[in-house]
Amino acid sequence: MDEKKLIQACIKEDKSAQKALYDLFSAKMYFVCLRYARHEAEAQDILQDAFIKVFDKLDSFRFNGSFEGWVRRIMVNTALNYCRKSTYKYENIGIEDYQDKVVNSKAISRLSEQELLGIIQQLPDGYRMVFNLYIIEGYSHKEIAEMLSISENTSRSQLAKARKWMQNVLEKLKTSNNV
Amino acid sequence: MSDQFNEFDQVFRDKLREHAVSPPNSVWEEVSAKRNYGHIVANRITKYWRTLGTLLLLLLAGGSSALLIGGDEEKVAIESTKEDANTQNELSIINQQYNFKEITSTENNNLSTSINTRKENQLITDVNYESNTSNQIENRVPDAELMASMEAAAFSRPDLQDNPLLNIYISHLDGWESAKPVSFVRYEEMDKSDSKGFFKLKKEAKPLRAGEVEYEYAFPTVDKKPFKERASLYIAFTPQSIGKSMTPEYNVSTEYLRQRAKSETPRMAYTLTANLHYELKNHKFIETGINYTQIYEEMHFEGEKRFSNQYDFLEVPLLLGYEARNSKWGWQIKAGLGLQVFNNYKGYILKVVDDETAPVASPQPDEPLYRMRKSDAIVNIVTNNHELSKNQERHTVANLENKDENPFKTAGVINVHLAAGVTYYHSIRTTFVLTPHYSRSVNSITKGDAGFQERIGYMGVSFGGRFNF
Repeated sequence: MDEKKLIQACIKEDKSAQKALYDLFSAKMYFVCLRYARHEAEAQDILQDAFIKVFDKLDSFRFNGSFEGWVRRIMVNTALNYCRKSTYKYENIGIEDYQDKVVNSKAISRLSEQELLGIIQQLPDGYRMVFNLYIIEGYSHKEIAEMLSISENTSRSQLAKARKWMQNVLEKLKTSNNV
Repeated sequence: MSDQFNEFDQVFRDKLREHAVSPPNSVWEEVSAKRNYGHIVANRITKYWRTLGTLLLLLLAGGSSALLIGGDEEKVAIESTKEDANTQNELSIINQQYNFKEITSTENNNLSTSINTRKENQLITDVNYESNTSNQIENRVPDAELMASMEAAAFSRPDLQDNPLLNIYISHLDGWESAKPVSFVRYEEMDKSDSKGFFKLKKEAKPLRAGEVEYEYAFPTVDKKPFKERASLYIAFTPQSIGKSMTPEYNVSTEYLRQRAKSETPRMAYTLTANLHYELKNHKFIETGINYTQIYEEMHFEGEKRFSNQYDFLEVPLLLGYEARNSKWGWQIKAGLGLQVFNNYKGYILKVVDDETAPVASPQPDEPLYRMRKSDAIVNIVTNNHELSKNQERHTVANLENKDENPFKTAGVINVHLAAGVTYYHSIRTTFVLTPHYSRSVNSITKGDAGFQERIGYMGVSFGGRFNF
């Protein structure tokens, strides 16, 4: 069954089609949720709510663009709503003392996805949101500012701090591995 | 530094964007359980709430309109009247609820009533009413039986032997012997309103003189009549006699007009009227709609007499009037202006010429050679025959169907109307109207370059009927 027929069957509340659609996207989308959530349980809640929205609003999909992109947007928006509800704060932790070192990208590429995810999940909430939206999803600072109801400058500074924070974590990780 | 950041970002993007991790099965089970039938229905209602809301509003609006237009509900009030100057007593009954006919909904009605003092002993002998006392009557409430009787009487003849008091009320209200529902609506009170919202009755009684009886009577007050009740369709047929007045201008001789006047003899004229009659406050009304007037006239010149000309006028009148009635019979007067929006002419008139060559109209013979009979008129109307006879010379007459020869305007003539007559209220929905009607063109019916001015006066009697929607 192609994607369009699958979607149309889902609109008609065909349970097997809905399960097929879930199977098709759940793994990818779960990882999206994991990137935004603080832990797995929260990611599962986000994934669950987002999939309910996907099925509820499926008839509003106009087949103009990528269906995966549409589902991903719902996942991200649901995750952001979770963040808002969970009183996430845009942190200003004491990272002034962190060094402006840039970790070699080759060193990073040797890390597994799970390890990178672990690092992202350790990021303070505000940093994590902006990092995910800017670096992974590819949104601009203007878009992020609108999505998170913050100023563009806040978005930029949060990203810079997130990068700094991650550099230091990666540096420590590299040092400990060498040790 | 920037490039290094870009590489750093790219590594994260490449490694994490498309990575997938299977979620536990419990997530699907939760999704499936939460999207149960109730959730799906609720979701659809939420999704289509605008459509559903619009439908609901339309249904409500439709229902309300049907209820209002149904016309079976009446706001009823009991209002005080004072006919005897000696009486100052007044009481108010407010917020009485009635159930009329099958209507289940009750309305809060504004009620007020008064105590009247009248010498009506002979009519209400069996009514044991307090009289000749100086007792203070306080906090009285309407008699339930009286109200029930009124309610019943509203839809039946009020020959209520068991309640002669009610008969007095009704006959007093509008002078009618019959009491159809409309009889409860007193004409003068139609536009009054009373917004008091509670049941209250106060009276400062005065001693009555010997032989006086006080009684209370009630009639409804309609807060404001809706359009449907104010508007009616007035249809009338007005046979008329017409008279033409012609005035020469600079180069046209009076002789020509004299000859024309001789040659033309109006034979039949009538107007059909279809007007919207709309009641205003204080017995006034306006009427507007369409008047269709047709005039036939005989032409007799060059020794031959012929019924030939036909004029058709479409007019939009706007009349303001006053109407009053005391019982079933009433009277009205109305006046206003009408604008002819379409005039059509068929036939011939004498051509405009100078003195020397003015055609001579044939004199009206004592014994007409040709007298139009009814059958001829009908034949002419049906066959639309307005041709000259073979013996008549074409060059002496102007063809009214030829716009270059026709001296008359095809629109733009203004008429003044005046009518006064009697009305007969046959039923709630029907009123017959008989009104002598006079109208006359204010401006000339001729074009500017015609060389003469001509006005038409109409006098007739309108036989009409007014029909409520």
